Amino acid sequence: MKLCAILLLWLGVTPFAQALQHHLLIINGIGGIDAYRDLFATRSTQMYQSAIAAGIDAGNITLLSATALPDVSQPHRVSDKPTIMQALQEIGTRAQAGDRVFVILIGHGNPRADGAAFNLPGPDISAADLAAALATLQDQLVVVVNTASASGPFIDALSGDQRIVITATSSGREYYATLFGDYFVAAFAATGADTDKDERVSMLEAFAFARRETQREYDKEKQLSTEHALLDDNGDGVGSREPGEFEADGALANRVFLQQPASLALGASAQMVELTRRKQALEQSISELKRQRENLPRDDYYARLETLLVDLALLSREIRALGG
Amino acid sequence: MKKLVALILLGFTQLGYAAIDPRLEQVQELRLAGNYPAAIERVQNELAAAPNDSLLLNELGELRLETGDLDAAATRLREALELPGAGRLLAQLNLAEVHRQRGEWQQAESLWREIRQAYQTAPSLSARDLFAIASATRHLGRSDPQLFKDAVRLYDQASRKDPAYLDAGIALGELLLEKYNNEEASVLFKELLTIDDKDPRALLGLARSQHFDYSSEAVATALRALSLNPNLVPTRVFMARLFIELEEYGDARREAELALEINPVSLEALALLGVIDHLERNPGQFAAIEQRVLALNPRYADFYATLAELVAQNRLYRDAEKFAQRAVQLDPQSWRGYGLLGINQLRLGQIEAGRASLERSFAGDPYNAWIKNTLQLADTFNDYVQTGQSHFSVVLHRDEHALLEPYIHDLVEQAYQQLQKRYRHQPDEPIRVELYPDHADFSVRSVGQAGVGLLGVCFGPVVAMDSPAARARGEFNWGSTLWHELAHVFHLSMSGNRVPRWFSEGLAVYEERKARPGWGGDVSPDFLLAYLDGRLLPVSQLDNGFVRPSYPDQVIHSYFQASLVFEFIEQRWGFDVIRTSLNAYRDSKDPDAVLLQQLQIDSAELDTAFDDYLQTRYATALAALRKDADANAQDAPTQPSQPPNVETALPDKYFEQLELGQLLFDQDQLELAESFLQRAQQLFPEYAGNDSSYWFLATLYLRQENYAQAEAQLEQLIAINAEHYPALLELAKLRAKRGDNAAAAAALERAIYIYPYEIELHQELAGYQASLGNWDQVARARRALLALDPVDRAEAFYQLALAYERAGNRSSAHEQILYALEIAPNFQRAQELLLALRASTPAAMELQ
Repeated sequence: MKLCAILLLWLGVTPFAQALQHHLLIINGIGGIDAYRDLFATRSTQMYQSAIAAGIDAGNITLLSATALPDVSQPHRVSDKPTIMQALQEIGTRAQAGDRVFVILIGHGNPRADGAAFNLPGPDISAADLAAALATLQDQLVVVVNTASASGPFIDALSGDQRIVITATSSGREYYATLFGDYFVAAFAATGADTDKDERVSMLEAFAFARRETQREYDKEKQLSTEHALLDDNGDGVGSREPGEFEADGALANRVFLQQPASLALGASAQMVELTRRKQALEQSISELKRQRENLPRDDYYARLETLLVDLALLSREIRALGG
Repeated sequence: MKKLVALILLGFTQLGYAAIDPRLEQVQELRLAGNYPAAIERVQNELAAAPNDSLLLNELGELRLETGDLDAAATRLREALELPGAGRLLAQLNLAEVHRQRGEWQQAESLWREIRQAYQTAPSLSARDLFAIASATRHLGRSDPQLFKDAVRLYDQASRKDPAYLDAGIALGELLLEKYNNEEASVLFKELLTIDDKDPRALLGLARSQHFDYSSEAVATALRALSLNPNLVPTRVFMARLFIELEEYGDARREAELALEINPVSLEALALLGVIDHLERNPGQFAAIEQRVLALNPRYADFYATLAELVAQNRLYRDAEKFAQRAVQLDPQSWRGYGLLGINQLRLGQIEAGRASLERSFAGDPYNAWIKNTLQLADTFNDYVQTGQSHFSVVLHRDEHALLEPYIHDLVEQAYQQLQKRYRHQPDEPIRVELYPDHADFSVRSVGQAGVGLLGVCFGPVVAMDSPAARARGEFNWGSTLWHELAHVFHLSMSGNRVPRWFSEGLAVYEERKARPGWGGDVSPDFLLAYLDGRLLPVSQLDNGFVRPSYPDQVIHSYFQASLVFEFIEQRWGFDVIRTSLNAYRDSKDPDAVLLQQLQIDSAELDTAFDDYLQTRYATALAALRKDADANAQDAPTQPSQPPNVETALPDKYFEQLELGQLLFDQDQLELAESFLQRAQQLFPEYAGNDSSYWFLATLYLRQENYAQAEAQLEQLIAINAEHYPALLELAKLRAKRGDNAAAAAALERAIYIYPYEIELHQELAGYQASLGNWDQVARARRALLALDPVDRAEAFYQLALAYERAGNRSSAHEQILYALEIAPNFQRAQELLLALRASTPAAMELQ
């Protein structure tokens, strides 16, 4: 049984009825004009709905908004700075070790001498303010997504171990309203972002989807892009524009999903455990082979890949036949 | 350099004394007015009093040089050099010029070097001395281009020394212009003219500068220079060049001959006569001129370089290449010759040879912007993928190769087959087709610099054009543009590149219309208003609308008008006369007569017949527009106080009806808007531009959920104007809505020729084609989709694999499914397809 528990931990699922919990804080900032107020409200609502659909307990979702969100049944408080600080404190109290905390900022931002700030009713919240508030979450994996303009400096302030920080812009100088947030939120609601077809959208996939669709939008309008999103998940404080599973940034984001991990009842069959172990081993082999791709002759690489893929396909059939 | 010119100009404005020898002041005035005999007589008189005056001897030598008596000039200049006194350096410079004009490069260079040394050795240097050193340095720059910078500096020093001595400023302006720095040259010439607005040389410099910028003011400025000095040979030569560019060879010949009357050995004027004789197919006269030039200067490579430059402007690129070859054979230091050789080799598709020639030119003269830009463009050629097809070699940027190549492949082959059959002609192959995703690159490929207002260009065997990425969506139809340029390939090939511009352009637009309904431009209110205003040219003068437009839209109007001429000719005489004319241009000495001979009609009759045709073809629209024009009713109508009635509110005026319809549409008064828009459509049914009634009515019917009417409007719209991207997308939806997926797919296929970069377009197209079982077409759409780099690449590879599998192409399906699973190893549908492919069983379909 110990072996089984270790194995399931390694697989990213929890062998207990109660899995690790996801906590989500959505902060809808001020829009300034009606068009942005409506846009940000829509984004926030969509994000909320995606979180519910992803299985996050409504009780673990905190929604703070500068405007009313008519399509959201859950009551929400105003997104001013004290309320944000209080909400983070509440999450810190509620979250267990190993839980995951997602903070999504939707709105405008602006550069400041000390980095950048996110615009709120009343005093804005700076990257440093947010960093201080999150400092208490030492035992949780924290994901911060700032979709605002001039959000780049948030990476500097928030980067750290067990942290994924995503910003819509690469610096405070990119201070025009962004499109990134639209596509980041859409990544969880629409099809197309789940590029590895595992029926979940990882933070890396959502980032890649949003980045590419944002760029496509600028290209379509023949405009120079005024935003360049970054992702940092290796704690070095340097965001990557094109993170990936095998790149400097991206490995952690590739393993973190919005979806609440499914709880697995104890007593999974030994056969299923064995099949799952073999499947993971095959996936690992495929991953290793892909790492070696540049060093192998093309035909050799694809021949070896095909062998592994066929084994994996057959094994997957077996797992599905057993109801997995 | 900018700073330097600013300093020079500062110098000009600060000082104002003239340091001319008083004895020469009047001579100078006579010279500037072009009265050379009187000037010579005056110097001779002065010399009678002072026979050993080196300044006077130099002046006389210079006048002899200017009037083409090289022997006399050399004698006087040598006499001047025997004597002590001022002006020695200028005399040396003038003597070197005599040698240069005779092709005696060694002697000339030796003198230039000597002059240059004086900068180090002379105890003091006057403005004229510095001018002589600057000019010698400029000449020596031919062997060492770094010296051009010295020349600029020295001209500057000369100007500072004596700001009233304009020769240095004028020479500097010419040097800047020669090195493509027109921005500063223009400023300089204008500033020189503030010092002396009657200096014909400064005016000529300004005219050249204006010509560099394609300004129509160049002619007026040059004429002003001629009014001040009708005998200034360089001005006559400049005018002759202008007339050649305008294809007015008679006037060009007159100007060149006037130049030769003043200076019978003017090599520049003789070269232009050679150009005219070549263009007018006078081989005997050309040979005589060539002989005359080479007798005067056996190493005058510029004769051939000038020929290469100007015959290329008349699209004789092969001739240009041959002339440029002769230029560099005659003078291996003819950097201009190498440049022209390289440019024309590139135009003929000789890419590597062209590049080598350009590199040689650039090494000798790194200041030629055309060469520099073209070499920079050539450096990017590695980013392009070249694929060979049966008749074509297609060159596409690697970023859009996968997307565009399949569509281009189909289109060029279709065009080739259609045009070959129609013209009964096979052009030389392969035809090279280049598409540039950056308009600036296409512009450099066409004219050596950014900013050309063209979409495509045909050099004969080479076509270059904007790719759809180079322009905003809906700005042009790249399919019809490509077809247009391919039609030119046939026209140029059949006529030996001698077809007049109006003929080739009009016919190419007409071919676009023959290729697909809605391609090839369509009539606009502007065009018909220009007709009503009498601004359209008669057929006999239509070429002027292309080469000498007199109002901003005249080129656009001329394209369309010329296309109507061929529509008219084919209807009345049949296509044979067009085909025969194209062949006849190859050898005709009188291009204006070619078409008329085939039609057996005189020029006036053709003009009248076409006018009748146009009036009949657009009778309804012309009547409506005439009423608009008569009533001067083109101002936007104000908001009506009461709902207008279509029967009573200006029922016969097109603009009134259209604008009221649009106004009511904007106010959401749809029923009322409909009647006005329909009336506008009745009045001008041929107009389907973006602001026409068709799109408004289609949108109106869509709002009313009257899909049949909406579809009918869109069908009519795209039958006239197939550049309306939203109309094609909407039409596809409506056709699919009533279950006609084949027609829906056809609409989307046409939309690809406008803007192929939208993923959804290819996705929908793939869906329609799949529903029809056209699996090859599905695969093509799926390949295009993949080329657009969708986020979900695993799905895109899977769908492509599925299309291949359905099309029976299992090996490609196998390849693509591995790519899908490489990205997403647990992709269940792809896993199943892989297993099915290995088991050779048909896969279950799950198409998106």
